Amino acid sequence: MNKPDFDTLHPYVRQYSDLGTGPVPVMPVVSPEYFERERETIFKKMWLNLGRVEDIPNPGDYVVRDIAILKASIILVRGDDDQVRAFHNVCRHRGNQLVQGSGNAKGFSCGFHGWTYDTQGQCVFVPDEEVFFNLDRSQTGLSPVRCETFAGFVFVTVNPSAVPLVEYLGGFGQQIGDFPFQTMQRMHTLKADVNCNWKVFIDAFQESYHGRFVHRLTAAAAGCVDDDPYAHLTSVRLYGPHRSASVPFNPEYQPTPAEALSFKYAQSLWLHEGNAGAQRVPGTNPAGHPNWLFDINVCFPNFFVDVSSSWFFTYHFWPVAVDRTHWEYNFYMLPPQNAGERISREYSKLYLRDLLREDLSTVETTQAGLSSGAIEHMILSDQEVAVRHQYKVVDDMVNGRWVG
Amino acid sequence: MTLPGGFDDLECWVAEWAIGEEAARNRKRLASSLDQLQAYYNALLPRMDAIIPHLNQYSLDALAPAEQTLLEMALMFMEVAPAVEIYKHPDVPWGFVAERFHILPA
Repeated sequence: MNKPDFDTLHPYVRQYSDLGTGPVPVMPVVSPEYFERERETIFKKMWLNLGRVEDIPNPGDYVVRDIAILKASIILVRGDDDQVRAFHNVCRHRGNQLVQGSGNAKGFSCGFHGWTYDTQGQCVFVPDEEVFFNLDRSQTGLSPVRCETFAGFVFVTVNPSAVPLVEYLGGFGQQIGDFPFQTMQRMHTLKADVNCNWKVFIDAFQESYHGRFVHRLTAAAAGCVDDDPYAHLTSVRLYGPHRSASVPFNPEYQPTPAEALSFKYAQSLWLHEGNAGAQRVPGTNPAGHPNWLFDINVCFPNFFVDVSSSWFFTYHFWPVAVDRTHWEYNFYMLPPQNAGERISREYSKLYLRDLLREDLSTVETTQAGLSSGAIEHMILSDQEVAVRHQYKVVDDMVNGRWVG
Repeated sequence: MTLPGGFDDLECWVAEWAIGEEAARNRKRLASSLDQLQAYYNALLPRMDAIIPHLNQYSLDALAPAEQTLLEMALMFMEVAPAVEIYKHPDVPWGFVAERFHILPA
């Protein structure tokens, strides 16, 4: 047999040779000092996703996001001019927080002394204004936070010198930007507070190697086949700090009776029009692989937009402490046109929900293992190129080596 | 009778298994034995191809109470299905603890 001229077992070290092949230190997921440096050099510098424009569809709609890693509370609000803006949730008077939760409002009135702001952040009322000293209300609006949208996703940054969002997203944005996100609606939200480092958490979702084990009763059947028993990623793309990987579909996959019902009345989770061919939906399967399941899309630092041809979901991994992360997941599909589609989509939604409890089962025990000090390095395969990339990007940023 | 005509055979399941919210349906699944889930699954599976065409006659946004109850029964079938078909257990056997995993409606 001739030796193949391409190393099929190690394609990504060739594609991204600057990442190297060596072991990866554990220190960045256990060191409180490193975590503080991540706060300053990553989370206070990068664009962070806070949701979608559909979360606040009408003028006056707002939602408050408390972001522990920024030590900030941010109001996202759609102004009466229909523009989405972000402000610090801090009264300009003496700093009290104005509002919590979400809702619709004509403006925000501080519960402490009644200072009131409109939906565009302007200070419109100061009780007993005359007793202040040369108070100019035009200069006491809410402190704005930079806010830009891409494909309906709302991002903010507290870094005044950050590049524009579209430039930050770069090729990653170009890859996913034409996906029909706005046609889909949220099916549910899942949340959990998990005792692990944010990077350990992300790592559990950016390789397919774990599928055969963690998902031995579920997703393994949709991806693993005899001649590809570990469901190797079919392609990987690194875009600056962001990354994307495609997961293969098993064309011999046999659905259960419930999934067969789901597929009979609509597209189902694993069985969808994208399986049988390439790029049926813009923004998916960028390499055009003939047996395609879905794309893992990681928007640095803490946001995922994974896409199939009939659904997408998002993860947010919000660091709370070096070993604590708040996780949020939102699942989206096309709005059901009838009960059959509604029932069909329920299968996909619940199957993925249960599957996520499989994924979350590993991250706390992994963190405990790493925190024990028993090992100083992780050993990564070529298939774990996205894991390797994450630690490289983070470490470059934390140590001032990142050049974009 | 609480279900539409033609679905009398499912009437005995309504009181316990027609549940409106996903989180409550999941709690019902986790509080049931696998035998109970299997019995519900066995009752609903052969009827789904009658239930769905019946419900598809109506606007999803304006279902009558009997049809709404039937829809909730069908959604409960999908809740039960992974336990019966995949896990052979009411819960995800090695899953992250259910009590710490919060399910919120859209």
